[in-house]
Amino acid sequence: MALFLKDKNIININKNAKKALADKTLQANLKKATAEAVFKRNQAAAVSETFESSRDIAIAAREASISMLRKLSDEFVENCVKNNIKCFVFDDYESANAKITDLIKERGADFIVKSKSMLTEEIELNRHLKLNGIEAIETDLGEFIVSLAGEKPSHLTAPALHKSRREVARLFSEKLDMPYSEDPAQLSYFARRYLRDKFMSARVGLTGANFAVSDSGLIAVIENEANARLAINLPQTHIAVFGVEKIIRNLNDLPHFLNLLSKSATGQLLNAYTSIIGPPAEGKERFFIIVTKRRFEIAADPVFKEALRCIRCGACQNICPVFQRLSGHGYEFCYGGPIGTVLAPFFIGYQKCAELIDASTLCGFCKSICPMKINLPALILQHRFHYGADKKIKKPLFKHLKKLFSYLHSLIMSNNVLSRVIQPFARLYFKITAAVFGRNYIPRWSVFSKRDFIGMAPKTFMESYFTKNKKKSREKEGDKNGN
Amino acid sequence: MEINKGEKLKNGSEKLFDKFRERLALNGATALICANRSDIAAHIADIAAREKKDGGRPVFHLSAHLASSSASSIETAIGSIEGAYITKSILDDNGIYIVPASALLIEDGALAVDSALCAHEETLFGDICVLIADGAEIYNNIIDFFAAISAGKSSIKAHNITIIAGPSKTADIEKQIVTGMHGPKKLYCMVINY
Amino acid sequence: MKVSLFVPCIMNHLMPESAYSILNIFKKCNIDFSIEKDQLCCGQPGYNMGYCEHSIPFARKFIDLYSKNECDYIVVPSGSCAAMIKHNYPKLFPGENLEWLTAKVVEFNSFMHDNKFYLKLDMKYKGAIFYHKSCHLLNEMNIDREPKEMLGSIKGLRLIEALTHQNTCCGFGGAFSASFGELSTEVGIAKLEFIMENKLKDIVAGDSGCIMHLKSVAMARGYKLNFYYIADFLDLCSN
Repeated sequence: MALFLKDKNIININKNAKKALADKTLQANLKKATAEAVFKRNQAAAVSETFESSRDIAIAAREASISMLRKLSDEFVENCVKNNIKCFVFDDYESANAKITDLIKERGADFIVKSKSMLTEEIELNRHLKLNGIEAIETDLGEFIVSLAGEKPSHLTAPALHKSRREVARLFSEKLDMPYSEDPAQLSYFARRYLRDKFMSARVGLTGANFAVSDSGLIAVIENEANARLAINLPQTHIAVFGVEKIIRNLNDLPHFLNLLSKSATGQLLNAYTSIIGPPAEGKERFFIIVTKRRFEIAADPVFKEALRCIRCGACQNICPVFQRLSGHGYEFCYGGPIGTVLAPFFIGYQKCAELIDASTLCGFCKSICPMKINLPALILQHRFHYGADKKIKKPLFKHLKKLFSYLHSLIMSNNVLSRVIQPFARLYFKITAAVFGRNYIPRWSVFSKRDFIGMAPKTFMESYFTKNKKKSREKEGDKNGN
Repeated sequence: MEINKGEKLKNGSEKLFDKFRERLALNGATALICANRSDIAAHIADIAAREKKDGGRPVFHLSAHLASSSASSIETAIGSIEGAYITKSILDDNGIYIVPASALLIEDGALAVDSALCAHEETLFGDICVLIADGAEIYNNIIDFFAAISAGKSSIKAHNITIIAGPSKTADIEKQIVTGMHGPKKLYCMVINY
Repeated sequence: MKVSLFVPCIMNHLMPESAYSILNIFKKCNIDFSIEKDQLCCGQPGYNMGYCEHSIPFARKFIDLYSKNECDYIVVPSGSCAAMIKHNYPKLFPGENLEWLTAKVVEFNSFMHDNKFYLKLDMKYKGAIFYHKSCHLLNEMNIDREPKEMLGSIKGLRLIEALTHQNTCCGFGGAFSASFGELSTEVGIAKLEFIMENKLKDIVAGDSGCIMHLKSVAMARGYKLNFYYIADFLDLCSN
């Protein structure tokens, strides 16, 4: 049994939380943005005639597509070829990145215009392109800001959620030599002008896809800014990169997903633009790069296949009490929040996720808000079971201590004698801490000036109730004897 | 009110239109109903007045595939606005683009544009986008719309669909909504109903 | 109708007065109740930490204990514990038929509400209270309407609750509260600050775990707030 105290490989949630909590701007932004997002989502869902029915239909549709993902993927590629779209399917990130790089280089481009795509974050495309001398220009305003700052997106649908207007103003004036302004409208206009030139001169536009329709060889891209439409339609070449789980069966399934995504993500009835992308226009070309990494494996897992239902709306993040404070960056994985916690062990391994999988109160609000009704807390719990049971995972000391605590709790508290014997010792412990610290102290629980502990009752309910009742019955017996 | 899927808007469908207007407003766009030629003229003049900045001349771009009757009404209307002119060329970043919408999605407050009838640039460039729903197909919602598409009952081909619900917008800086991020600042829909 | 009351650990060890409130209510409603003297924890801590094997001894004892009890209901005054028994025990013993047990186990709120016992209490109160929707009660047991209707039936009471976008967990989360002390505490502080911003002083929650956590935070912060487990409050109002 290998014990180790600190492992730099383990995502340190406590450390990240400390850092995030200390950043008051971040906390204020997160609080406002997440509450507003949930509010708007509820409003949109309440207005809609079809939201609830679409949930059930979309879940059934997704279950069906997950169960035949390989077949659908082959069929999708076949239909794309018929549509004059060239498709490439890769299981590993390296090959996908290499292919995209080659396609761009072959077209003599040294930069591309890019719209928001979580998959490119997952495969770290931008870093790879940079190594090959190609600049990836992010054109979604949030992504643009984040990339200027050299950071990573902190939310699925609001990547610059953690940035204040002041920070953006400073960034634009320093890096782009734009006049200093803290007005979001002015800042957006600067970005529009700067990026429009890039759109007009770009040879290659790269986007993600929200859904891919198998029977017709099409993808759907949704957005609000119109940057994806520009990236798709202005350059000569369009490349779309997406995970194989985005493939759904047919056009009848599609609107239910669109219905859910816009409302759950941003509380809109529909996003400003929904583009259905098929055969390239005359003289233009289109490529789909499909990444299958780990997806087939997850699809085959009887429990975790549920995670592939995710449509990346970010609602679970908005409602999560941990995400609301930790922010996306604290997860150190491209997908944050409850769904990120569920996906992370598959993509970065259990060892790294030792703390992450425990960082949930299992409150279950994510399960209720998820448009696809993914039982996120149950899946997080399932990771804890797997982590605990798998002897091959190298575990840090704190995990062994946790297990020891759980074991001792079980050993003592499930024993009628021991659980009673320990009571006076526990009370004595609190008497001592009260004398020493002036309050009830529990290591790891007590947070100075923020949380004490209410302490134990002088007698447990069971003790007091049954001594009382004993007395009563004795008195009764006494009465009888007296008679 | 029951809708026969894909049916054209006709007299007596005001209730339907009210709902569409309300939902389009939730998406940040304005729906205008035109019951006759003078309504078209009034709305066009109104939009031009909003666009005209500091003595600039309002520039209109008319899509080539507008229904001929509404196109001629619109041209006449523009002709009577002082200083206004029409151009065929695609202008970057200013102007009022008038393009045909092929379907109305009532509950979603959205419109479908057929890229066979309208170049993408026409709904992307410019400050203001005016979608003309003249003889457009009408659906309860996006679900009925796609059902019609996949059954081949709509005149629009799936790969030509762009659904537009509101102007280009962003809320990426402190959640403040800013319109005209990469596309038009304002979106109007004129429903020609006569 | 015969009822057996299960007393969750937090209630048993930290706030026995809440268990007495339940007994008072039972007496007022003429409910024939008993308490199993040998009852223990339901085993949830180990389960939620990811060690099912540590929750098995608890579950086994619970099942054996109540298999001999001929009550109609086992009333569990905690959404967390009730969910553990109803939803997770069958998973711990997949070969065993536990339908008799899961059918008998009923959460306190739904027991009081669904049998309309709360109407017998003739409750009165003057003022406003904040109702905290305990997470497992709400999200695991789908019990939301029941406590709100019971509280709503109290004459003179103004019931305030957080809307969905303002509503969060109290931050407790069992072992989470110790593993991630700062995060957990901040969630609790935010909850209490929201209540104080709304100028409220009295908080009713549907689970004693939430009360314990929020009280612990309020103690350290010096917040002057009153906390009631729902049975405490129902009992108080029916005097």
